[in-house]
Amino acid sequence: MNIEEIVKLAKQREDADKVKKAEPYFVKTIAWFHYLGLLRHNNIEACRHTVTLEDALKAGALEPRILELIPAMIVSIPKALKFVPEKLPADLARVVRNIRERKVGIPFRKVPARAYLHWLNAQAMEVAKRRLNFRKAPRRRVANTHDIGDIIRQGRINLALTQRQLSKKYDLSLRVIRDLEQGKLDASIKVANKILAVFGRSLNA
Amino acid sequence: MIAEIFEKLDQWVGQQNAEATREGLPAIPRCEFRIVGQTALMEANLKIDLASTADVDAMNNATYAVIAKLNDLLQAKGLEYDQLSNEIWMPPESKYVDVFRGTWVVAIRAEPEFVMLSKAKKARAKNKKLLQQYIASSPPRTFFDLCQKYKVNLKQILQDEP
Repeated sequence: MNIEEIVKLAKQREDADKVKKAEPYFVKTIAWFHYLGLLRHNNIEACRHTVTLEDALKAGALEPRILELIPAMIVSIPKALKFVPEKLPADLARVVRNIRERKVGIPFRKVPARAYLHWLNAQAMEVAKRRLNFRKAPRRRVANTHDIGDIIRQGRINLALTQRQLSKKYDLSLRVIRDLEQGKLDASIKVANKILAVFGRSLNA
Repeated sequence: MIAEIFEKLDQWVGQQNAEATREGLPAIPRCEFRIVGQTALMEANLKIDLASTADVDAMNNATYAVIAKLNDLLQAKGLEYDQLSNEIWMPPESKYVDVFRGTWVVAIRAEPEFVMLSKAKKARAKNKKLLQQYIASSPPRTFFDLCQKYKVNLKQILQDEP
Protein backbone atom coordinates (compact mmCIF):
# COMPACT_ATOMS: atom_id res chain seq x y z
CA MET A 1 0.00 0.00 0.00
CA ASN A 2 1.42 3.36 -1.02
CA ILE A 3 0.27 5.65 1.76
CA GLU A 4 1.39 8.87 0.13
CA GLU A 5 -0.51 8.07 -3.04
CA ILE A 6 -3.69 7.28 -1.07
CA VAL A 7 -3.46 10.46 1.01
CA LYS A 8 -2.89 12.50 -2.15
CA LEU A 9 -5.93 10.93 -3.83
CA ALA A 10 -8.08 11.55 -0.74
CA LYS A 11 -6.94 15.18 -0.59
CA GLN A 12 -7.82 15.77 -4.24
CA ARG A 13 -11.32 14.37 -3.75
CA GLU A 14 -11.79 16.15 -0.46
CA ASP A 15 -10.89 19.51 -2.02
CA ALA A 16 -13.68 19.03 -4.55
CA ASP A 17 -16.17 18.00 -1.84
CA LYS A 18 -15.23 20.93 0.41
CA VAL A 19 -16.69 23.32 -2.16
CA LYS A 20 -19.96 21.35 -2.23
CA LYS A 21 -20.10 21.21 1.58
CA ALA A 22 -19.94 25.00 1.76
CA GLU A 23 -22.95 25.38 -0.52
CA PRO A 24 -26.21 26.61 1.05
CA TYR A 25 -28.20 23.45 0.20
CA PHE A 26 -25.81 21.31 2.25
CA VAL A 27 -25.36 23.69 5.19
CA LYS A 28 -29.09 24.45 5.43
CA THR A 29 -30.03 20.76 5.30
CA ILE A 30 -27.62 19.82 8.08
CA ALA A 31 -28.70 22.85 10.15
CA TRP A 32 -32.39 21.93 9.76
CA PHE A 33 -31.86 18.24 10.57
CA HIS A 34 -29.77 19.38 13.54
CA TYR A 35 -32.59 21.64 14.73
CA LEU A 36 -35.03 18.73 14.47
CA GLY A 37 -32.68 16.64 16.64
CA LEU A 38 -32.19 14.05 13.91
CA LEU A 39 -28.54 14.84 13.26
CA ARG A 40 -25.68 16.38 15.20
CA HIS A 41 -22.82 18.15 13.50
CA ASN A 42 -19.57 19.39 14.98
CA ASN A 43 -19.23 22.42 12.66
CA ILE A 44 -22.76 23.42 11.62
CA GLU A 45 -25.13 25.02 14.12
CA ALA A 46 -28.81 24.10 14.29
CA CYS A 47 -31.15 26.48 12.50
CA ARG A 48 -34.91 26.60 12.14
CA HIS A 49 -35.28 26.81 8.40
CA THR A 50 -37.25 24.15 6.51
CA VAL A 51 -35.48 22.77 3.44
CA THR A 52 -36.79 21.20 0.25
CA LEU A 53 -36.68 17.46 -0.29
CA GLU A 54 -34.62 18.13 -3.40
CA ASP A 55 -31.91 19.88 -1.36
CA ALA A 56 -31.98 17.16 1.28
CA LEU A 57 -31.52 14.44 -1.33
CA LYS A 58 -28.68 16.38 -2.91
CA ALA A 59 -27.04 16.83 0.50
CA GLY A 60 -27.53 13.10 1.08
CA ALA A 61 -25.03 12.38 -1.67
CA LEU A 62 -22.38 14.01 0.53
CA GLU A 63 -23.69 12.76 3.87
CA PRO A 64 -25.49 9.39 3.57
CA ARG A 65 -26.87 9.71 7.12
CA ILE A 66 -29.32 12.21 5.64
CA LEU A 67 -30.58 9.59 3.16
CA GLU A 68 -31.05 7.18 6.05
CA LEU A 69 -33.54 9.57 7.66
CA ILE A 70 -35.52 10.77 4.64
CA PRO A 71 -37.94 7.81 4.12
CA ALA A 72 -39.01 7.88 7.78
CA MET A 73 -39.39 11.67 7.64
CA ILE A 74 -41.64 11.46 4.57
CA VAL A 75 -43.84 8.92 6.37
CA SER A 76 -43.80 10.25 9.94
CA ILE A 77 -43.14 14.02 9.67
CA PRO A 78 -43.86 15.03 6.06
CA LYS A 79 -44.09 18.70 7.07
CA ALA A 80 -40.38 18.64 7.88
CA LEU A 81 -39.47 18.75 4.19
CA LYS A 82 -40.94 20.86 1.40
CA PHE A 83 -42.14 18.61 -1.40
CA VAL A 84 -45.11 17.80 -3.61
CA PRO A 85 -46.33 14.28 -2.71
CA GLU A 86 -47.28 13.53 -6.31
CA LYS A 87 -43.81 14.46 -7.50
CA LEU A 88 -41.66 12.30 -5.23
CA PRO A 89 -38.65 10.81 -7.05
CA ALA A 90 -39.62 7.33 -8.30
CA ASP A 91 -37.17 5.42 -6.06
CA LEU A 92 -38.27 7.28 -2.94
CA ALA A 93 -41.96 6.91 -3.85
CA ARG A 94 -41.46 3.14 -4.13
CA VAL A 95 -39.73 2.98 -0.74
CA VAL A 96 -42.48 5.06 0.91
CA ARG A 97 -45.20 2.92 -0.68
CA ASN A 98 -43.52 -0.24 0.59
CA ILE A 99 -43.35 1.22 4.10
CA ARG A 100 -47.03 2.22 4.06
CA GLU A 101 -48.12 -1.12 2.67
CA ARG A 102 -45.81 -2.96 5.08
CA LYS A 103 -44.05 -4.75 2.23
CA VAL A 104 -40.48 -6.03 2.35
CA GLY A 105 -38.05 -3.11 2.45
CA ILE A 106 -35.87 -2.35 -0.53
CA PRO A 107 -32.57 -0.42 -0.45
CA PHE A 108 -32.84 3.33 -0.97
CA ARG A 109 -29.85 4.85 -2.78
CA LYS A 110 -27.47 2.28 -1.28
CA VAL A 111 -29.02 2.66 2.19
CA PRO A 112 -30.16 -0.81 3.31
CA ALA A 113 -33.84 -1.12 4.31
CA ARG A 114 -32.86 -2.06 7.88
CA ALA A 115 -31.04 1.27 8.28
CA TYR A 116 -33.92 3.54 7.24
CA LEU A 117 -36.74 1.40 8.71
CA HIS A 118 -35.08 1.72 12.11
CA TRP A 119 -35.97 5.44 12.18
CA LEU A 120 -39.71 4.87 11.75
CA ASN A 121 -40.24 3.98 15.41
CA ALA A 122 -37.29 5.84 16.84
CA GLN A 123 -37.69 8.30 19.69
CA ALA A 124 -35.74 10.82 17.59
CA MET A 125 -38.69 11.05 15.16
CA GLU A 126 -41.02 11.88 18.06
CA VAL A 127 -38.62 14.58 19.24
CA ALA A 128 -38.43 15.94 15.68
CA LYS A 129 -42.23 16.01 15.52
CA ARG A 130 -42.40 18.07 18.71
CA ARG A 131 -39.65 20.45 17.58
CA LEU A 132 -41.42 20.93 14.28
CA ASN A 133 -44.53 22.08 16.09
CA PHE A 134 -42.84 24.67 18.29
CA ARG A 135 -43.94 28.21 17.61
CA LYS A 136 -41.33 30.86 16.97
CA ALA A 137 -40.18 32.99 19.91
CA PRO A 138 -42.36 35.99 20.78
CA ARG A 139 -40.95 39.33 19.62
CA ARG A 140 -41.71 41.47 22.71
CA ARG A 141 -39.30 41.02 25.57
CA VAL A 142 -38.31 43.02 28.64
CA ALA A 143 -34.58 43.73 28.64
CA ASN A 144 -33.63 42.52 32.13
CA THR A 145 -35.20 39.06 31.76
CA HIS A 146 -34.40 38.72 28.09
CA ASP A 147 -31.31 36.52 28.51
CA ILE A 148 -32.90 34.27 31.12
CA GLY A 149 -35.95 33.83 28.92
CA ASP A 150 -33.74 32.88 25.97
CA ILE A 151 -31.79 30.36 28.00
CA ILE A 152 -34.95 28.76 29.37
CA ARG A 153 -36.69 28.65 26.01
CA GLN A 154 -33.65 27.28 24.16
CA GLY A 155 -32.95 24.72 26.89
CA ARG A 156 -36.57 23.62 26.86
CA ILE A 157 -36.55 23.28 23.05
CA ASN A 158 -33.37 21.22 23.27
CA LEU A 159 -35.16 18.87 25.64
CA ALA A 160 -38.14 18.91 23.26
CA LEU A 161 -40.55 19.73 26.07
CA THR A 162 -43.54 22.02 26.13
CA GLN A 163 -43.76 24.60 28.92
CA ARG A 164 -46.34 22.41 30.66
CA GLN A 165 -44.17 19.28 30.36
CA LEU A 166 -41.15 21.17 31.72
CA SER A 167 -43.12 22.45 34.69
CA LYS A 168 -44.46 18.97 35.51
CA LYS A 169 -41.22 17.10 34.96
CA TYR A 170 -39.13 19.41 37.17
CA ASP A 171 -41.86 20.58 39.54
CA LEU A 172 -41.68 24.22 38.46
CA SER A 173 -44.38 26.83 38.17
CA LEU A 174 -45.88 26.92 34.69
CA ARG A 175 -46.79 30.59 35.10
CA VAL A 176 -43.23 31.58 36.04
CA ILE A 177 -41.73 29.62 33.12
CA ARG A 178 -44.20 31.24 30.72
CA ASP A 179 -43.61 34.76 32.04
CA LEU A 180 -39.82 34.43 32.11
CA GLU A 181 -39.76 33.14 28.53
CA GLN A 182 -41.85 36.09 27.43
CA GLY A 183 -39.68 38.51 29.40
CA LYS A 184 -42.63 39.64 31.47
CA LEU A 185 -41.51 38.82 34.99
CA ASP A 186 -38.71 39.84 37.31
CA ALA A 187 -38.49 36.51 39.12
CA SER A 188 -36.69 36.13 42.44
CA ILE A 189 -33.06 34.95 42.16
CA LYS A 190 -34.02 31.74 43.95
CA VAL A 191 -36.82 30.90 41.52
CA ALA A 192 -34.81 31.88 38.43
CA ASN A 193 -31.87 29.77 39.62
CA LYS A 194 -34.17 26.80 40.24
CA ILE A 195 -35.34 26.89 36.64
CA LEU A 196 -31.89 27.62 35.19
CA ALA A 197 -30.48 24.67 37.16
CA VAL A 198 -32.52 22.33 34.93
CA PHE A 199 -30.32 23.42 32.04
CA GLY A 200 -27.11 23.38 34.08
CA ARG A 201 -26.98 27.20 34.33
CA SER A 202 -27.29 29.76 37.09
CA LEU A 203 -27.46 33.53 37.41
CA ASN A 204 -23.77 33.51 38.34
CA ALA A 205 -22.71 31.42 35.33
CA MET B 1 -22.04 15.70 27.55
CA ILE B 2 -21.49 11.92 27.29
CA ALA B 3 -19.32 11.88 30.42
CA GLU B 4 -22.06 13.73 32.30
CA ILE B 5 -24.63 11.11 31.23
CA PHE B 6 -22.45 8.23 32.44
CA GLU B 7 -21.81 10.06 35.71
CA LYS B 8 -25.57 10.24 36.28
CA LEU B 9 -25.87 6.56 35.37
CA ASP B 10 -23.18 5.70 37.90
CA GLN B 11 -25.04 7.66 40.60
CA TRP B 12 -28.26 5.83 39.72
CA VAL B 13 -26.61 2.39 39.93
CA GLY B 14 -25.09 3.43 43.27
CA GLN B 15 -28.53 4.36 44.62
CA GLN B 16 -30.07 1.13 43.34
CA ASN B 17 -27.31 -0.92 44.94
CA ALA B 18 -27.61 0.90 48.26
CA GLU B 19 -31.31 0.08 48.26
CA ALA B 20 -30.65 -3.53 47.23
CA THR B 21 -28.13 -3.96 50.07
CA ARG B 22 -30.68 -2.65 52.60
CA GLU B 23 -33.27 -5.11 51.32
CA GLY B 24 -30.84 -8.04 51.05
CA LEU B 25 -31.12 -8.24 47.27
CA PRO B 26 -28.26 -8.84 44.82
CA ALA B 27 -26.48 -5.70 43.63
CA ILE B 28 -26.15 -4.60 40.02
CA PRO B 29 -22.66 -5.62 38.91
CA ARG B 30 -20.08 -3.06 37.77
CA CYS B 31 -20.41 -2.51 34.04
CA GLU B 32 -18.34 -1.14 31.20
CA PHE B 33 -19.51 0.78 28.13
CA ARG B 34 -17.25 0.96 25.08
CA ILE B 35 -18.35 3.93 23.00
CA VAL B 36 -17.73 3.37 19.32
CA GLY B 37 -19.10 4.72 16.03
CA GLN B 38 -19.76 8.39 15.33
CA THR B 39 -20.15 9.25 19.02
CA ALA B 40 -16.58 8.07 19.68
CA LEU B 41 -15.36 10.26 16.82
CA MET B 42 -17.35 13.25 18.09
CA GLU B 43 -15.90 12.79 21.58
CA ALA B 44 -12.37 12.62 20.14
CA ASN B 45 -12.76 16.17 18.75
CA LEU B 46 -11.35 15.22 15.35
CA LYS B 47 -10.55 18.11 13.06
CA ILE B 48 -12.91 16.89 10.35
CA ASP B 49 -16.60 17.52 9.63
CA LEU B 50 -18.67 14.99 11.53
CA ALA B 51 -22.38 14.36 11.32
CA SER B 52 -24.02 11.89 13.60
CA THR B 53 -27.55 10.62 14.03
CA ALA B 54 -29.17 10.48 17.45
CA ASP B 55 -27.98 6.88 17.89
CA VAL B 56 -25.23 6.21 20.41
CA ASP B 57 -23.27 3.00 19.87
CA ALA B 58 -21.93 1.62 23.13
CA MET B 59 -20.82 -2.01 23.40
CA ASN B 60 -21.40 -3.13 26.96
CA ASN B 61 -21.81 -5.89 29.52
CA ALA B 62 -24.62 -4.11 31.39
CA THR B 63 -27.91 -5.56 32.55
CA TYR B 64 -31.23 -4.64 30.96
CA ALA B 65 -32.16 -2.24 33.78
CA VAL B 66 -28.92 -0.28 33.41
CA ILE B 67 -29.32 -0.05 29.64
CA ALA B 68 -32.92 1.12 30.05
CA LYS B 69 -31.78 3.84 32.47
CA LEU B 70 -28.97 4.85 30.11
CA ASN B 71 -31.51 5.17 27.32
CA ASP B 72 -33.67 7.43 29.52
CA LEU B 73 -30.69 9.65 30.26
CA LEU B 74 -29.69 9.77 26.59
CA GLN B 75 -33.23 10.60 25.51
CA ALA B 76 -33.29 13.59 27.85
CA LYS B 77 -30.41 14.92 25.73
CA GLY B 78 -32.06 14.07 22.41
CA LEU B 79 -29.97 10.91 21.93
CA GLU B 80 -30.81 7.24 21.84
CA TYR B 81 -28.99 4.00 22.72
CA ASP B 82 -28.55 1.76 19.68
CA GLN B 83 -29.92 -1.64 20.65
CA LEU B 84 -27.61 -3.32 18.14
CA SER B 85 -24.48 -1.87 19.76
CA ASN B 86 -23.10 -5.24 20.81
CA GLU B 87 -23.16 -6.46 17.21
CA ILE B 88 -20.62 -3.88 16.06
CA TRP B 89 -17.30 -5.29 14.92
CA MET B 90 -14.18 -3.70 16.37
CA PRO B 91 -10.66 -5.03 15.84
CA PRO B 92 -9.45 -6.96 18.92
CA GLU B 93 -6.39 -4.73 19.30
CA SER B 94 -8.58 -1.58 19.58
CA LYS B 95 -7.36 1.00 22.07
CA TYR B 96 -9.75 2.90 24.30
CA VAL B 97 -9.44 6.02 26.42
CA ASP B 98 -11.41 6.95 29.52
CA VAL B 99 -14.53 9.07 29.19
CA PHE B 100 -15.81 8.45 32.69
CA ARG B 101 -14.68 6.13 35.47
CA GLY B 102 -17.10 5.74 38.35
CA THR B 103 -17.64 3.21 41.12
CA TRP B 104 -20.19 1.20 39.16
CA VAL B 105 -20.00 2.44 35.60
CA VAL B 106 -16.98 2.83 33.36
CA ALA B 107 -17.26 4.50 29.95
CA ILE B 108 -14.40 4.39 27.49
CA ARG B 109 -14.24 5.44 23.86
CA ALA B 110 -12.39 3.82 21.01
CA GLU B 111 -9.54 5.75 19.41
CA PRO B 112 -10.50 7.17 15.99
CA GLU B 113 -8.19 4.96 13.89
CA PHE B 114 -9.91 1.81 15.18
CA VAL B 115 -13.38 3.27 14.66
CA MET B 116 -12.43 4.24 11.12
CA LEU B 117 -11.08 0.78 10.40
CA SER B 118 -14.36 -0.71 11.60
CA LYS B 119 -16.27 1.62 9.27
CA ALA B 120 -13.97 0.88 6.33
CA LYS B 121 -14.29 -2.86 6.84
CA LYS B 122 -18.00 -3.14 7.60
CA ALA B 123 -19.83 -0.10 6.16
CA ARG B 124 -17.70 1.39 3.41
CA ALA B 125 -20.53 2.73 1.22
CA LYS B 126 -22.06 4.75 4.04
CA ASN B 127 -18.69 6.03 5.21
CA LYS B 128 -16.86 6.62 1.94
CA LYS B 129 -16.88 10.42 2.30
CA LEU B 130 -15.99 10.24 5.97
CA LEU B 131 -13.05 7.94 5.24
CA GLN B 132 -11.96 10.22 2.42
CA GLN B 133 -11.94 13.16 4.81
CA TYR B 134 -10.12 11.20 7.49
CA ILE B 135 -7.41 9.99 5.11
CA ALA B 136 -6.98 13.52 3.74
CA SER B 137 -6.35 14.73 7.31
CA SER B 138 -3.16 12.58 7.43
CA PRO B 139 -4.16 10.05 10.10
CA PRO B 140 -1.62 8.10 12.18
CA ARG B 141 0.36 5.32 10.53
CA THR B 142 -1.49 2.78 12.72
CA PHE B 143 -4.61 3.30 10.64
CA PHE B 144 -2.87 2.28 7.41
CA ASP B 145 -1.19 -0.68 9.11
CA LEU B 146 -4.55 -1.85 10.42
CA CYS B 147 -6.10 -1.51 6.96
CA GLN B 148 -3.32 -3.62 5.53
CA LYS B 149 -3.71 -6.22 8.27
CA TYR B 150 -7.49 -6.50 7.76
CA LYS B 151 -7.25 -6.34 3.96
CA VAL B 152 -9.10 -3.07 3.52
CA ASN B 153 -8.35 -1.56 0.13
CA LEU B 154 -8.47 2.19 0.78
CA LYS B 155 -7.64 3.12 -2.80
CA GLN B 156 -10.61 1.14 -4.01
CA ILE B 157 -12.90 2.78 -1.43
CA LEU B 158 -11.77 6.22 -2.59
CA GLN B 159 -12.41 5.28 -6.20
CA ASP B 160 -15.82 3.70 -5.55
CA GLU B 161 -18.74 5.26 -7.39
CA PRO B 162 -20.67 7.66 -5.15
